[in-house]
Amino acid sequence: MVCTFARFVVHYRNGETAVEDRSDPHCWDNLIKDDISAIGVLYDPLVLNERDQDGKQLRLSDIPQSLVLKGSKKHNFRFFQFKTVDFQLGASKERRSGKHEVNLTIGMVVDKEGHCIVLEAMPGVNVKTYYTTVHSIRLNLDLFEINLEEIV
Amino acid sequence: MAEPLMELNASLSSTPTTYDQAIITANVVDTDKVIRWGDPDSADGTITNVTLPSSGDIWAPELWLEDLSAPDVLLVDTDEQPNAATPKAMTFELSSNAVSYATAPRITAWDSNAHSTTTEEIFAGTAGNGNDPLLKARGQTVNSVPPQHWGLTEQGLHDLDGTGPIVCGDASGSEENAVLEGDANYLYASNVDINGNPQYFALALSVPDDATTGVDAIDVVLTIRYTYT
Repeated sequence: MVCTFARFVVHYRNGETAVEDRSDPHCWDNLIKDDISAIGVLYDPLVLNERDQDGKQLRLSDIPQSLVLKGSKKHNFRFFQFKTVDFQLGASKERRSGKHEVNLTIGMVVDKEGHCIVLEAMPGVNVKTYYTTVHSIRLNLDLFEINLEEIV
Repeated sequence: MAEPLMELNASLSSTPTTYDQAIITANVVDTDKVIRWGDPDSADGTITNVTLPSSGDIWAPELWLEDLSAPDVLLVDTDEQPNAATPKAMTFELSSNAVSYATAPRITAWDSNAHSTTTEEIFAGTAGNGNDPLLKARGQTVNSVPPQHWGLTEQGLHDLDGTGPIVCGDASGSEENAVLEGDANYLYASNVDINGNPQYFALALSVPDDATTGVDAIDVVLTIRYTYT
């Protein structure tokens, strides 16, 4: 399964649907203002409303308030993204050796302490969001050129 | 960025210099290959289950790379791991052409495909062994034979319990010994990017005298998890 990070199927409350690149942190600052009703993680840029192998659509419905960031006029929080993959070595039917895609993770660092909002999509289940820290998810900050000193 | 290409190979050598038993090649898992423990009378096509000790703890004598479409390969022979004087304990090499990782690759084990629970006896241990996990692992950054009993006493290694994530280190100390138990206890690579920094790890299965017979209680999935951007 080919996944495209930062590109989402965005569902507006007026019924319109569009594929948008939301890798720009500005895009995450006004989800309510944009009147967005749901965001679907896009696996294939060519297929809207795509479903995973279990027939479930990876969609974040009912945009939570936690994703609406306020008070940051500089919009200088940082965006990160990564995919997690498991190689599995096992014998029986449900443990057969193979490669498994675990999840797609995107998020934003919102303060200089490394607190971040994470949006995580796992095949077979709905997208979930949660607060954590870059330290707890062992992010390599240098990799993403996150300059926490710049974050207010 | 492009997905990094992971490699996992096993060595047959008692002085590991070559890793010519391919398990993962350029991110493609050989689905016919399985890591399996056996008794000393095992042979290609007839890997026999480990016999329980009459008392105390033993190490599962043989470690095999079972191949469902080719002859099985004996990785670790009787008593060579990890309690012999010259153990053939250095068996796996994990490397990649890593482009970029968010987190250091980790080696752990789970109950099943779901990669979410660790309830099997191999994780919970038994009353007889003090409920210590049975699957032990050692991670090194150098390609060398680890010290006898991985730097511990033999019973100390049997009794090794989870202390959280353990980073692969050098071959000199015992700090790089871990149990593999889901997200709670695992080995992780010394470098976020293992391109040019291959990781070496060994496995050992402690078998207490009151272990449940059959394979269900220890039938788990060994998992290598990595992230990339």
